[in-house]
Amino acid sequence: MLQTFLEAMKGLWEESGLMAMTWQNAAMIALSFFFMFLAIKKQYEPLLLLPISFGMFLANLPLANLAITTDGSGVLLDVLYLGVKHELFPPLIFLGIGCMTDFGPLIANPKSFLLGAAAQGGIFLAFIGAAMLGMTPPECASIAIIGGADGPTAIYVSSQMLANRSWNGIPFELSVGTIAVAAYSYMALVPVIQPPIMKLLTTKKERMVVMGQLRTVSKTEKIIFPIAVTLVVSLLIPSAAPLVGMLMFGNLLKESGVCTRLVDTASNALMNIITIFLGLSVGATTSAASCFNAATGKVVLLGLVAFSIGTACGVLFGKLMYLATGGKVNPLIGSAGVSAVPMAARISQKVGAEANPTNFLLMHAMGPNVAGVIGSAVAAGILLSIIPH
Amino acid sequence: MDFFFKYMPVEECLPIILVGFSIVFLILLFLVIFFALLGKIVTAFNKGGKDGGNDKKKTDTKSVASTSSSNTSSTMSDGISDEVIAVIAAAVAAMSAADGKKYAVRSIKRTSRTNERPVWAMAGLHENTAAF
Repeated sequence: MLQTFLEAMKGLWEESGLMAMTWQNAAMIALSFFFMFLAIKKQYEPLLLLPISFGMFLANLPLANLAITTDGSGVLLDVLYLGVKHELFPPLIFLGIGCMTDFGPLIANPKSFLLGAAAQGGIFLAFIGAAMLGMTPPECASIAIIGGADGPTAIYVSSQMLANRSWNGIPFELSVGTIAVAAYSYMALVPVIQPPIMKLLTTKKERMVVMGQLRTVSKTEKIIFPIAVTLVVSLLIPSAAPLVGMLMFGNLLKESGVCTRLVDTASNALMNIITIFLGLSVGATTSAASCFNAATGKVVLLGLVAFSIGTACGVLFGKLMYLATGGKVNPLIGSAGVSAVPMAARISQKVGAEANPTNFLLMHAMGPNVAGVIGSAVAAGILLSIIPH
Repeated sequence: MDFFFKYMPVEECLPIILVGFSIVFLILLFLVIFFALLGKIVTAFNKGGKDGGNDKKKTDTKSVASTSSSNTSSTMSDGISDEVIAVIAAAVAAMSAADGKKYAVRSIKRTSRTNERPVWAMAGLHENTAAF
């Protein structure tokens, strides 16, 4: 009997995850603990970084078979990942974002659209950077979209770009999870990355510009806005329709004032459910094989480059508007064109207040900030249309 | 340095960047023009309506002010402070701006509580139990 017991214990031990643990698994698990620390202690985008990091943790547990499979034959996280694969979760997140976004400052000052457009320069310049470093076109697009500073958009583009796992027979070195972790990490670092660039590219005199009060926006305009944006963007760039359409649908629900219950569900319960499913399943794509390679280093480097260039492009266009309007536009609001809502707008307010404590730029910066959401969705649609995948 | 532009030569990248960036700009520029025009039309339309109603609005404003001031003595005796009256008047003014209708505050009185439940709790209860 003792012999049987010892043999059973030995069998269990040999089949345990501990015996199958490799150094790569251990390193990825340690990395997931680091991201959990960032999410919990430092509060770096915790709503998504914590589920993503826990998905990373689960995916790298040996023999647990929770990592996303190539043929979709897995359980739990593989099933949840279907929502990403079938382009369901990111548009639903955008629905919730639309319900929570006020486009009033943008409607009051439509020129803010141009600042949102300028800040997407980071996307396209990061694209050429990725191509320069020898990435395939789908990988270039997946890395470039990090510059849009929009998590759901980055996941939406990279999940489609990397769906086939190879391009012209060349296997991809990236995973959706790597892109998502990079995107959310850099979004959380906006308060660190942006201010030095903003101060470098502007003079104190420019930072002190006080902008006039925004006009009142009527309810009619707020209702026409989502319909018009959806129509214009979707007719011109159909591949942007899922993201822009859901964003604007959510906003129309909110602005109509007649669907309070739907707004409440979309911006609370639905958003929270999708966030959990999306974060966990995307995190589970970060297996050791997909992360321990040179491509991850390129993602980290190019993500930073994309963010920085996007900020710089926005500020430089803001300076152009400052000159064109005879000093009425504060260039600092240009940096808010990266779509990290509302953090980037708060940074514009903070840096502006450092130069002139009586200056309130927040609402002026919200215009380019929400325009950046639309701009990054349009850029995503363009990449999906142009880049073969 | 074979990996530089290994899978996409510069000649292929540059057109993608130029086309992509230009299209983003052009689409958003179109939206700028559209919403600038829409803003002007709506503002002009509202201004036309407001000119006729301006005198009435002034009268209403005066009536709100006079109502507030004439009622001050009676509301003060109910223990309602000027700050509370100002907050209520501001909320009514904001509501008026939001839905375009004209409201005037005629009277502010403290209600007697018929049950122990606070007013905010009653409002939440009403919202959650309202019919579909």
